[in-house]
Amino acid sequence: MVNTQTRRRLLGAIALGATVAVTAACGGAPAPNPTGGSSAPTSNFVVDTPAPTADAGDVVWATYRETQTLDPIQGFDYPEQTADSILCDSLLRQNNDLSYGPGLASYTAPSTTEFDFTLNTATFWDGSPVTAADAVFSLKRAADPNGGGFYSTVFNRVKSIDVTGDKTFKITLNQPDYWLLGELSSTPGEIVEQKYAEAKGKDFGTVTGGVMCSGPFKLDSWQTGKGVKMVPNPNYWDSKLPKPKLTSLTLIGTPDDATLTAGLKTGAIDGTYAIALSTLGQLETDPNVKVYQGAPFLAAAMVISATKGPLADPKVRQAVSLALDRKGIINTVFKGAGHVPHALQGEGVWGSAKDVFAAGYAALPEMNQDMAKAKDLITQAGAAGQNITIGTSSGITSLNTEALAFKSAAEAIGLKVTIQNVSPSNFINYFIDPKAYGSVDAFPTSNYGDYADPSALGKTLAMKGGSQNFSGWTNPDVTAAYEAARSEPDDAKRAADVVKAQQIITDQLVWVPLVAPNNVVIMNKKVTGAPATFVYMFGPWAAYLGGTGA
Amino acid sequence: MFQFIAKRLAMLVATLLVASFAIYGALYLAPGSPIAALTGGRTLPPEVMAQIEARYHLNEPFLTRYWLWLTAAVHGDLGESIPLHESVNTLIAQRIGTTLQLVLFASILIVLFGVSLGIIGALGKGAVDTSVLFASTVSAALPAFAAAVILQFVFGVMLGWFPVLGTGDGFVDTVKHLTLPAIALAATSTALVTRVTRTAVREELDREHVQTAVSRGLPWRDVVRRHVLRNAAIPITTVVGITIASLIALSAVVETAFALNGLGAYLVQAAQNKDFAVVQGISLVLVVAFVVTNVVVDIAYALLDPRVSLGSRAQ
Repeated sequence: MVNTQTRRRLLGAIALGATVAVTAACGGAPAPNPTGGSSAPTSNFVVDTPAPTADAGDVVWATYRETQTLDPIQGFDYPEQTADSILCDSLLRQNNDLSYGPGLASYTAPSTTEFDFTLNTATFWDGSPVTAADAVFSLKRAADPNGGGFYSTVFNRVKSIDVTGDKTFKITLNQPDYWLLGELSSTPGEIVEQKYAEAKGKDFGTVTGGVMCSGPFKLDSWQTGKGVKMVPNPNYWDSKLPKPKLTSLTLIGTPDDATLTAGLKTGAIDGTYAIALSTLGQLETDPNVKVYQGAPFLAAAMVISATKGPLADPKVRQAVSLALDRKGIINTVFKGAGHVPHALQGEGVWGSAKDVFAAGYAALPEMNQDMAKAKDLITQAGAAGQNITIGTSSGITSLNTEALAFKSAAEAIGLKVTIQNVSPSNFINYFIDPKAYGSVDAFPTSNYGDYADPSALGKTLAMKGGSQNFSGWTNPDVTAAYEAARSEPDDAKRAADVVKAQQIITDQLVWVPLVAPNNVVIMNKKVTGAPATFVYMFGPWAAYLGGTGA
Repeated sequence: MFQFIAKRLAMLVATLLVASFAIYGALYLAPGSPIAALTGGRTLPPEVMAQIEARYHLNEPFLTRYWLWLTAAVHGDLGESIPLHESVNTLIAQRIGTTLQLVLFASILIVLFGVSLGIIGALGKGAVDTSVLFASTVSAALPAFAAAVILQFVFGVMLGWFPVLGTGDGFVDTVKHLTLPAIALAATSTALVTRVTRTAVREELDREHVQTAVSRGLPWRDVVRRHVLRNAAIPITTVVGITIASLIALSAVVETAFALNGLGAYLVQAAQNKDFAVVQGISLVLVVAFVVTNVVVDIAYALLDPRVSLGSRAQ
């Protein structure tokens, strides 16, 4: 109730004078207590799981499908990033709590448009030293729009990258860009050996060519269908990182929930990071299995691609959002492992300036169902009886359930809904083909940015030309706040700018948040130590892995 | 013999050509983009998309793409998997062993249990026959995916007798790993072979020459072996042949359920990802396997029944 008031006040300020009257009607309420309620940010999310006490031997870790490439510049999905994050060091390192700091290199900023990097004394697996030439080669390779990589756009403020010494190099920017540091702590910042990559040519990163990096694990063997086998790197440069207590770690693809469950129960699979696993409840009660829930990083949301029609109106989006049964989605899709969100992404994306982000998040209302308000808004918007089209794929169960929940919500407040159902392999077209996303008003997604900051995802959907800005949504205040954040060296001030943008994005529901899914890690009782955060995509997560002696 | 093989080879080539065109066409028409498999559904900048499309000729017309594939294939290069950037020849070679082992194991089970249960049912009376009928009905009604889950749960999770996934190393370990998958794969086919065997043997038992042999006082064992089974062998061979040839394709479900790195599961995955070269490559392997199995069945006919000459089908 009180939370809704905050929401409306913002709406009034930003969008329409008409809502001011409503705000006034609810006005006079005392300062809200936004941290109340079950979904409020809490600190009982797990970061580190119990440290290993014994050698775990050969460990098998499951991903939802098999690893397809080990080339970091093409690592764009769970299996690849889970592998690359432990094979290849990033320039900066993401810690288990998703803060980032010095990694393979540390940096200074002599001016707002210059970063000077100094590499640590590290070696690649073949014994060659990691040089500035290797780092510059790797970054230029990632930044090259014609290089076949998927991350070139994150380097769009980089003017030049130059070797300045054996272990030092300089990145010069056209404009200040502190987001780049976050990217350099993630997949785009992973350093590979130049001479190896050049020798392998187009085979680099494939089963035939493999990779050459400096990470805490080195590639032992890789056979498609059998998995990527990695062993601890005995000469790893950083003694501060724990030595993995295991003989080998094999990443296998296990697309089937039943197989994964049987594997975890019997110990044929030692662990996995699970998203919307249908058998989670069964595993939680199994004495042979441990389930840990870390802070939500992913955004489970409805992408709004409507440029006209009811969903192009923020008031209608707010109405549908208020009519959504989010707790139902949490129970059916995430088996309870999620929270009713306040914004697109929850606590898991606060890698720095946690207090600022936490306060900004708490100031936004929890997105609870309120049918009366929803119907009010839809009447105000005069949208009842109008038609919207939702894109989905019944072959992707979790996303489809979310799309159907959105449909029910829209219908409950008087909208007419048409479902456009496509095959699972065609679903990608909503994200890449203007004809496809132009033909629907909304479609479900499970999405994430490259590092722990709400702007890492937010910039892709709420900035002009953003890669996921399908409706062409822009807002001068959001643009200004993001531009300010990008140029801001101070963590807290940068976070404050991002929070400012987040408020507007959330209030306007550029995308409609559905659930903040917890980051779930599941391990057989024989192994322990894998961090329960999204660091498994970006940082050396498996260094903490080992046995329990059970 | 030489003529027979030459004829069969010519047929094989023709079949491969037609099949490859049909499959390529079907995949081309099917919805979806191979690029989805690269990104897990996240968005790529348009420049990157254009590059990928150019690299794999995704924006060329259908006939051009098929021709590019065909000319390379004739030279022994089956192309490159889009998500794995790896030669299809290598990818098939890495997986064909698992599928062959699984199919061989399942075939042994099918022949061993299917034929012997069928004979027992046909020769036995009353309760024995009823039990065989009941068992084969249950087994026939059990689709491979259901059998896989049940076997996995009972013998893997609850009893812990067999591993629930993977292929294992070395002979004993491999047999242990493949036992549950082979049973799941063989269940339905075993029932079919049991039924056909039972009927065929029953039919022969009622035939005049069998009655004559019995009335001449020949030992029952000899009558069954020489007069009944030998004659019943032709329909049994036919059904076993067809069943085994289809196992490779059927193995997809079982391979997925037990996380085996076989061709069947990979074919399904590749078809979903629209990974053209892989689908083509595996399909061709399937066609070859089908044709080869049929040749073996033909040769078996000739061996079983001297009246049948190679190349003419016995009924």
